[in-house]
Amino acid sequence: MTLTGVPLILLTASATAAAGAAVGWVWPRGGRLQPFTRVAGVLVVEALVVLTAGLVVNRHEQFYPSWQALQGDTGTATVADRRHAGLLDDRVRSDRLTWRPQGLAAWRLARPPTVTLPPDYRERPGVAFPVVLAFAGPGGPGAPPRRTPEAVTVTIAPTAGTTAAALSSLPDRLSHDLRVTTAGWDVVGRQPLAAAFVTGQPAGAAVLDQPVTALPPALTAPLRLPPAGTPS
Amino acid sequence: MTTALTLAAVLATATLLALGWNRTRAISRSALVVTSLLSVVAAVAVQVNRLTEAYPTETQAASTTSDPDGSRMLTVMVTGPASGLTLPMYVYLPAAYRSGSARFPVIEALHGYPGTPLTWLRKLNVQSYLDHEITAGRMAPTVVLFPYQTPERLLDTECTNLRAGPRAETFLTVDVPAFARAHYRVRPDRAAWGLTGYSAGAFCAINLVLRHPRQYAAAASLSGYAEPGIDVGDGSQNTTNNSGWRLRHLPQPAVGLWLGWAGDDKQSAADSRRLAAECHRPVSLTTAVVAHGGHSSAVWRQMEAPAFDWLSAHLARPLS
Repeated sequence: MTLTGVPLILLTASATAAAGAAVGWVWPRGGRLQPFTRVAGVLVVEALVVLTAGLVVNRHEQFYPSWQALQGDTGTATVADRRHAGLLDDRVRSDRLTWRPQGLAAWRLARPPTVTLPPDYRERPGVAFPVVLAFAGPGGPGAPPRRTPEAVTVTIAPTAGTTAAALSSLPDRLSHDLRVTTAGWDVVGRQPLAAAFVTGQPAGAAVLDQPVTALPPALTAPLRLPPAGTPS
Repeated sequence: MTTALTLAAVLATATLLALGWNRTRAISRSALVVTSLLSVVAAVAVQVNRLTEAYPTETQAASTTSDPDGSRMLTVMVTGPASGLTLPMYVYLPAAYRSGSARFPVIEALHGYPGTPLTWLRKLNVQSYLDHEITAGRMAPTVVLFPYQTPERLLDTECTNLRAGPRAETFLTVDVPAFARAHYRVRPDRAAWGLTGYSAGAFCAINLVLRHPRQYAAAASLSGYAEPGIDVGDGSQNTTNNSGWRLRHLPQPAVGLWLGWAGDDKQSAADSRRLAAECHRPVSLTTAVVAHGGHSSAVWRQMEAPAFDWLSAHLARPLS
């Protein structure tokens, strides 16, 4: 019998009526036990009235749709993810490295990207860091690699052949190789390519030329619940 | 204590009714019956109040830590010149607030209706959850504000400016932020401000982030709704104070939304799914579903840590 079903409400309502009738019957009777039977009868009727009213309200508002809900059982586990180490984590010897990921040739850059790590990258192995993706000027020598404290800074030098579509694999490759966040990347560059890269990313993944102070914090893996559409 | 007193009153009035019935006339009997009924109503009202914290017996926030280096939960009074409202507010200051000069991101956490922010503090143990998430490194140290969304406990504002009524939206989006900026080391910029809430407060969080995207970067909804379910007085409950309508008919702002619901919470689940279906770029959407639990504190307790973690990852970090 469900908590919000009509049968349970009918049952308690019937029990209330029956209890009321019983109290009416025993009221003038009972002999020496009369005070006790009356008090008990009144209390039982009152409790049943409250119970029935509560069930009606709960059916309408659906506060507790099931017995499980009433017991505080949500039937769902919160998942504590673990932050996966980057493929390059055990090879990083300095705060600056030349990054040669798989599929680099398809990006058609003037030279491999330069990655600058925050000073505490190696001391915080369970943490993912925010990302600054800097587009250096096309063709020329470009600006020197940037360094942003508390962020992994990736400086790339696109050529005329570099496309936003080709670069769309960059976030996945970087997440594979280093511990970085997947949201709130700061993309720096005046070229249309930088704007096109941002547009090509999922909503919230990258922002064009936001202040460095707006970068999210470096955090360990969050607690998560199943997303919509996941079988429970 | 109140519970014991009301139950004792129920027992006493039932006894009076039983013992006094044969010794009194009709009018006195009627009075005994009415007294008995009133005692039951009072007992029920006390239990409902316990559930909702609508009229809390103790309004001071009891800090759950005795650690002099730990977090604090303060009780303050916010006088709002813009809204004309003066209401209490609870302020969570993380342990890191005690030292240094960093400015912290801010989350406004809104309560349901009927209710008060004390539900966050008591039933949802928010201070403990926040401390735990921050200590675990899943959440950056953050100042969390727990304002009232209504000056009259039984007047549901849904955080809107009611026509001919309280200006709750102005209080929450102008007065509360101004108070926080004036009194605490918080970041003033939009990237560092977020909203959350449960039940009606969840509707508030989504509605306010959609209405004020230049002030807030992200919002997390714990069992929220697409519509306010009240008459705002100007019909805006069907348009500009209706999150579903806003997402469907207005350009969507670049904000992050976290929508959480229980699968068996029919209204909230249907509304949240509808909101999720309406979201598109540039809104960044994350959903979270617990299998069952209805519209209850158990669900919100399970959701609050993941929601705070998500919010922190979508807000700017503390700034030294």
